[in-house]
Amino acid sequence: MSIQETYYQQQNKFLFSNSKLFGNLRKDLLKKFELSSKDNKNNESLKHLDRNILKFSYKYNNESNKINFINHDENKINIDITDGKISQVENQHKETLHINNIDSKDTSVEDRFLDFQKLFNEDYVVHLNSLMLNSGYELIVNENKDANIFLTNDISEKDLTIFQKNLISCGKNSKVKIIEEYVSDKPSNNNVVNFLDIHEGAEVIHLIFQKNIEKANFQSTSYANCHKNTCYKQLTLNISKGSVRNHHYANLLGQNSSVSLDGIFFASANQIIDNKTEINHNCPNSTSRQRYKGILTDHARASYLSKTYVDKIAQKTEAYQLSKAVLLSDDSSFHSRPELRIFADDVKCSHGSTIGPIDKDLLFYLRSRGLSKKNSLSLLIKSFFHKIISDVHDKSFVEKFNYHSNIWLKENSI
Amino acid sequence: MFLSIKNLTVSIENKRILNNFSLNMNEGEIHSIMGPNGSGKSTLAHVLAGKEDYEILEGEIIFKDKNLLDLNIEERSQLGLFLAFQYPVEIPGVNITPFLKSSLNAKLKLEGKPEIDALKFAKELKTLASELGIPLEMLSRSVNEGFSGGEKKRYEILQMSILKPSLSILDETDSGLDVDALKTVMEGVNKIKNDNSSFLIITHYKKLLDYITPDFVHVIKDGTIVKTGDKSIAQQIETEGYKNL
Repeated sequence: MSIQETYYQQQNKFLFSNSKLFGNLRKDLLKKFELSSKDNKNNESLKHLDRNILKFSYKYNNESNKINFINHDENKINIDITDGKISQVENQHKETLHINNIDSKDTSVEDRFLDFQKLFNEDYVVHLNSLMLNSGYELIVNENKDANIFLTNDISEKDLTIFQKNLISCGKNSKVKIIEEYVSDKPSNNNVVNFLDIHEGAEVIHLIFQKNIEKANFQSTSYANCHKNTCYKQLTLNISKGSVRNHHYANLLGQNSSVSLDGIFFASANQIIDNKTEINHNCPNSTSRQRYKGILTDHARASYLSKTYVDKIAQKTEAYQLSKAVLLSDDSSFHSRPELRIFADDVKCSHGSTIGPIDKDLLFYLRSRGLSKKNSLSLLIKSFFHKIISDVHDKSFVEKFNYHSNIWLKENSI
Repeated sequence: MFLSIKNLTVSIENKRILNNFSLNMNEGEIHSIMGPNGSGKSTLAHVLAGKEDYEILEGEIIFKDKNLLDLNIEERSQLGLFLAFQYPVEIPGVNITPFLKSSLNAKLKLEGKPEIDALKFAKELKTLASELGIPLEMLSRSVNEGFSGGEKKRYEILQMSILKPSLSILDETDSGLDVDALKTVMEGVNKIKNDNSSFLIITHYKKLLDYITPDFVHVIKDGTIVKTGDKSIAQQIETEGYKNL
């Protein structure tokens, strides 16, 4: 069934299906899917994507917006998300956090989604998300509050297709740590778009752990607006076995703001990993960093597009990009494309990219000290990710990385 | 014979570097290899250590009654061969202390001995580091990361002190070291030296041989030994160069 046919068959089940404005948007989006593959050959959102993601049978059954609240009087806020909707919250602390599932009656949320759509004119994965939107939540951390939030995403039955949009707002001067987990053990397709508003003075650390099985396709898109004096640090750790897309954007809108979008990925078998980060400097005195590093083996393919835009008013910008991949097999491949568009003249911007096998001299050195080839390779792979992992000041996340990366190495006979 | 290299011919990228090279060493001896740039000194060191870039066209290497060419890199190390690199690499994220402990334990395992106790190891490491003038805070850093050239060389000798190899190959250990650093490093080497430890010292300069007197000095040219003698050869080279050898 084509996307158009699927849409018309299911359209009454989607969020905002009764909205005229959303309906108009959807009509426009459907037209885009009528274009032939020749027309969108160079489309960035499709170029490095596993096209199987666009072939699916729609299935979604979760009609309930009910949230179960439990209080254990602990600091950590645990939020269970089932099929794209919040199902349970532990330790909400109402003065700290407001949570609700998206409802079709919420016109302010609808307006925001329509506004956000304009940011993604040519992104087919986001178009699909808007067309088939069936879930999502709003999470608001209040001003001057600290919050430690654990979001665990689960899928209740096999073959579900989830298209969710989430709104996350971190109030002025809040200090927030968000740890998101996507660990699906069921064949499924999960297309998530997160919009983050980081208000003045807020500091946000956002750690995302992805470990889905082979037939659990996953597309994650995020867009963060960072206001004055804010700091947003994102790290995506992808050890999934299926095809994954991670596209993450940030807008620096106020002075003295900083953003880092970092990623680590492991790819094997016939996986296709599609990574992109883009940071827009729209104000002076802001800093950014984009670093993606990956290990590939077998016939895996990955890409990383890193983009930095510096507006002419964004003087004293410092922006840094790094892309690195280690290829452990002759048939794996990595495509890296950095892009810098700089319109201010008093800036420091740089980019670096390396692709290749494990450094033979490093391997020789370790083995010459009596370490086996296997142990040496394992140490070198950890060394490869060291600079990114050492910036993560969350012990349990680092332990998770160590544990799962060891398993990946064992599973891939390294 | 402790080490016997017979008619060794080695090439890399179709270029012959070692040509019919032969050398014999008894246990406890100190041999020095000198020669002009490109003569095959470092190639010899790397081939002994097992670097896989080289093609062995002919010859054999017997070390402690074992055919070295049948052993891989780590097996040679575990057997007691140690290479102090001319240009030690940096490995961020690989912490020095656990790395050295793993190396030592790999050797002990081959010898059928139990793993070293962590506290005992830490104590020994600190003592040896202090003797080599290595600040203790460096022991919590990554392998060679941010080290100066001299610090890297000291750290090579620290590793040698911990692993106590039977045969230590020092590949231009003196390069990049100032006078004081050279003295400290060579004092460290002399502390390890005993009747059972053997050294193959690769150097350009006589100065190093003032600290550790070789039993034999060999001059290598175009991949083969052209002259063997005692330390006086080093003096001759210093005065006259390699042309007349």
